[in-house]
Amino acid sequence: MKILVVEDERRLTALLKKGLEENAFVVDVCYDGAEGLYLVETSPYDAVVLDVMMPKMDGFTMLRRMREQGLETPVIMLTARGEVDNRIKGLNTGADDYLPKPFDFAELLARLTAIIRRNKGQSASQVCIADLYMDINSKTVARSGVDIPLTAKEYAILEYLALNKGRVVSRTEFSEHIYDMNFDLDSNIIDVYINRLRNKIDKGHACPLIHTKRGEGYILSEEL
Amino acid sequence: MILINSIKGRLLLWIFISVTILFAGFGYALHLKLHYVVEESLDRMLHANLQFVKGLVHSHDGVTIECESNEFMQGDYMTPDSGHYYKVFLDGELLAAADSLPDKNFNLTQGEPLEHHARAKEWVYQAKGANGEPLRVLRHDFKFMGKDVRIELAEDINESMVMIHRLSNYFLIVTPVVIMLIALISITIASLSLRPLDRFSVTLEQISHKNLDVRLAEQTQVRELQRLAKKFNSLMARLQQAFEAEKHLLGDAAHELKTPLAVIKAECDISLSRSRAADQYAGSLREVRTVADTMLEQINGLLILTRLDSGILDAGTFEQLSLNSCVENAVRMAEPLAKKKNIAISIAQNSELTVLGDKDTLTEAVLNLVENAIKYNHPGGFVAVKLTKRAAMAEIVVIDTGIGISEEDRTRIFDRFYRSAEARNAEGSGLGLSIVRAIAQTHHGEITVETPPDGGSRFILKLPLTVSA
Repeated sequence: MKILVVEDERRLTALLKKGLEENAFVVDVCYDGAEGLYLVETSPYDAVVLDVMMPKMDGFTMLRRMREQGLETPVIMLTARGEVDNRIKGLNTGADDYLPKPFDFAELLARLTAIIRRNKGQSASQVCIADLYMDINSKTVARSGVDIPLTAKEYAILEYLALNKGRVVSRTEFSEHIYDMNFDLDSNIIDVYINRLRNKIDKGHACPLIHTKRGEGYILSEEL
Repeated sequence: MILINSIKGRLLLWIFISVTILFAGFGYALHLKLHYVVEESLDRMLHANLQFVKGLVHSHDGVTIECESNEFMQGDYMTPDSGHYYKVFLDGELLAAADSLPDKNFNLTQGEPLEHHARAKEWVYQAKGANGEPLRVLRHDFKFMGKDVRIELAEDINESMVMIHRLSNYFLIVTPVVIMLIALISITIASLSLRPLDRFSVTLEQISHKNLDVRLAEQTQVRELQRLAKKFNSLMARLQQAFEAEKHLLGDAAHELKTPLAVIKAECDISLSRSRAADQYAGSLREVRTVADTMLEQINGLLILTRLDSGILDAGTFEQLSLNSCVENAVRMAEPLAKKKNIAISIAQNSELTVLGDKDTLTEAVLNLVENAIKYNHPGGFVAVKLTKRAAMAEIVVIDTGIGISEEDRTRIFDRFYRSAEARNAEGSGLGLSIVRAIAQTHHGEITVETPPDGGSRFILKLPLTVSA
């Protein structure tokens, strides 16, 4: 899942990037609303963490512009001004959630996961495909009751496939959602990770779940 | 007390007192005038009768003097107890008396005379008749054929007295009623006249700390209240400004302190979320430590600002001090930082300047300026501090070769917690320059900033000079 963090306090931005990346998110950061707006317009994010008080363009304005352009990316607003009227203003402008500073990082993670899940039409926090079981909150994967340890990247790819189950995900879409803005799109690294995932999930099972659509991409599904 | 403490009550009281005094005086004057008029008419009647009785005294033979009572001419003097009496004496002996007087020897001239007209030889007495009725008596002495003749004339004045009493009583009954009526009218008029004041106070009652923007409509007030409304509105405007400033400062302070707190919390949460190598924990702790220092700096800055705002520091605690030593001390304190950032500092001062002020806060102001000049400078740059005299002001000019200040920032740079985009992520509280401005204002000076075309920035702190040596 790819997250955009828009926050002018660089220390906090760096921390959020570090913390989210440790939890299998891909994070792009920027320090003002104008750049944030440019980024959400040009690349697909699964969620935006947005500060209110920022130079150049504040969070409310950026959010309003986003929604005016029909960008439905889920947004969590993050601000020190936690008064009720400010929260209402944020939610009315089109924010999906609101977190007053200082916040618990675990709460941010939980809320972020929840709005992404809901946005993908997945209201439960567990995903089951045949005998594959994924818990999005604890980020654990099991098949036929056996836990499968995955690296952060492997998990991120599987989670993205799972949240888009039954739909073909192209390599470009993968790289857009699984890698940050510094990723080189020509790389074949997606194929490498898919192979590793097949080894861990499908190997030794009669019915494979990860399928290749030649020329299109990959799909997670019970049948081809 | 309630009566006296309200305008309506006072108005009523004054009207009541003045109307009462007026009526009492008027009544008394009326009473006197009435007496005078009645007595005058009685006296006129007595004089007319005197002439008539005087005409009765005559002598047929030129020897014997007698008083001939003529039935036709005597009229009222015939009827007993008619209230009209006369007595005529010749050489002290009773010569004649009116038939109306039952007791011929009844003394009409009782007590001392009320009036005495020496030239006319007339005396006026107040007497009581046989039946206790009040009499007004006129006595007249004259010579007739060399003999002393005295005529005493009396008139019953009971009816006149009763009339006067009746009028007085009538007046005494009517007066309080009139006063009451006037009081009622006064209350009505007072209420009507004070109605604008009531409306005024109703508006005032609506005001609380939540709606300080309520203003009185100045134009619709009566003329007397317009000035009050104007004064009140300007007072409210000032109060609102101060209140809003407080509120903003509080809001800003909360916001500015919550952000570093968010950093500390996130740092801890993320650090503790999994087990890490010792050096990673150490790194996190150092970050937390740095952020805590920033918070401390902000809190100290807020305390200084609050102290400056509250007016604890004022002219009463000021003393004559050398600005030169303030500048020297500030530069000395900034030298370690300058060395660390490889910045050269120079001081230029050509004369000893003395101002009235607080040494510590002025040094703090200069130090803040110098530290800013170092912080936002390029490595290898320099900072020049100049102390000069211009007109009656001392000028401390801090010039740097740093990043400069954009035009947009120049207007806001002295605002609390404002940080330009460039300064946003530097260390600091965001309060330094607002503290400098507060110190300058406390000392009746000012702080301005210029951006020279060749780069850098130039802060000018002006303070009023007291004695120049």
